[in-house]
Amino acid sequence: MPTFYEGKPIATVEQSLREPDYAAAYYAAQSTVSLLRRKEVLSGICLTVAVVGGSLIPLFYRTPGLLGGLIAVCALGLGSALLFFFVQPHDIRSWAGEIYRSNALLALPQTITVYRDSIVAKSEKETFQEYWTDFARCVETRDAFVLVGGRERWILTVQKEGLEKSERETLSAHFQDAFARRYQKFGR
Amino acid sequence: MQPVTVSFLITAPDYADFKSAAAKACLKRREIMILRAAGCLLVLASLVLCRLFGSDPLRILSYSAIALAGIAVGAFYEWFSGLFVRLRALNEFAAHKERFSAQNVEFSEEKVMFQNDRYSAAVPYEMLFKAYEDGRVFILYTGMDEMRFIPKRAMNEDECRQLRHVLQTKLQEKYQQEGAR
Repeated sequence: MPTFYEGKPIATVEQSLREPDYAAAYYAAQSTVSLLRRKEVLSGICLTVAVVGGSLIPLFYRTPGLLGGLIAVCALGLGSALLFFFVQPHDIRSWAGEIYRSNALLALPQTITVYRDSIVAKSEKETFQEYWTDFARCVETRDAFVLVGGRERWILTVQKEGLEKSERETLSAHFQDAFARRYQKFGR
Repeated sequence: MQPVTVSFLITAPDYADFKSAAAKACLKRREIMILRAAGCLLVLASLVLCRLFGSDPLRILSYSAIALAGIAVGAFYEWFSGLFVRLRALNEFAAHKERFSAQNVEFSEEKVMFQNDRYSAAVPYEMLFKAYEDGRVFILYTGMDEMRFIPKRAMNEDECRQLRHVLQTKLQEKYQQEGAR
């Protein structure tokens, strides 16, 4: 599949994607869409609203209507901060788990071959190739390289498990070069 | 069963048909019922409000707007959403034309084989998540959020019937059919 000018593969990875791996990759992909998708940023905004609301309470202590409103803002801010920090990540991961369980092809052992311009994923049932220009971005997490927005598969992960340190560094450098500004690190 | 082979190049109307069918497929009957009930409630509320407080023209106008919104949500939601989905799909197609290459799909007794310039797969029917058919396309879901479609214009009547039969037999309750001719 790879074109002649690509030369030898940069790395070949044998992997079997498990549900927690996919959920972590999906969560990383979702969280890096924009800054506002990060749980720390969202809960920080809500917490700031709660603190600002709370700090205004002494000023309007004698105005019952406004006082009630400020207490409500404070409670809502705190509640939302907790929701975005603890509940939403869990929900995203369980949704990812559902996606993983629904797609039998994801669980098959795969051989991922990384070339200069493309990546080839091969399993018992399917083989596909994607070029770096097909992907929206690459997210490097502690456990994997997550390639997001491909033509054939929305999330393609290259697991770091089983790779030598030098191989990880080579792949990381290669993805940084290939994706340039579309390369991000997450949760490290 | 004789293998059925379908070859096609995805066109903008095909992609719009596919997106529109996929949107219909993921809309649950319960959700449609809730939308219809909400539409009825809005119309009813506007009538009551008009009867109780409809003294000046401005109020009557705003209550009429509520009634119209109720009719749009209750009776024409699918039509409106279908229209928006189609428009969005056509824009998406125009922006990413290079992603839509020629496809070859072969249905045999045991599996379905997909082939294009970058992807080849032989997926047994039991590995499919579900299949959906409407008047214009067949959609084969390999997962909840991963699907491939075959426009019916690329098949003749007999091939359509064979494919429907094999999907019905192999997927049983995982096969949905809506508005198919």
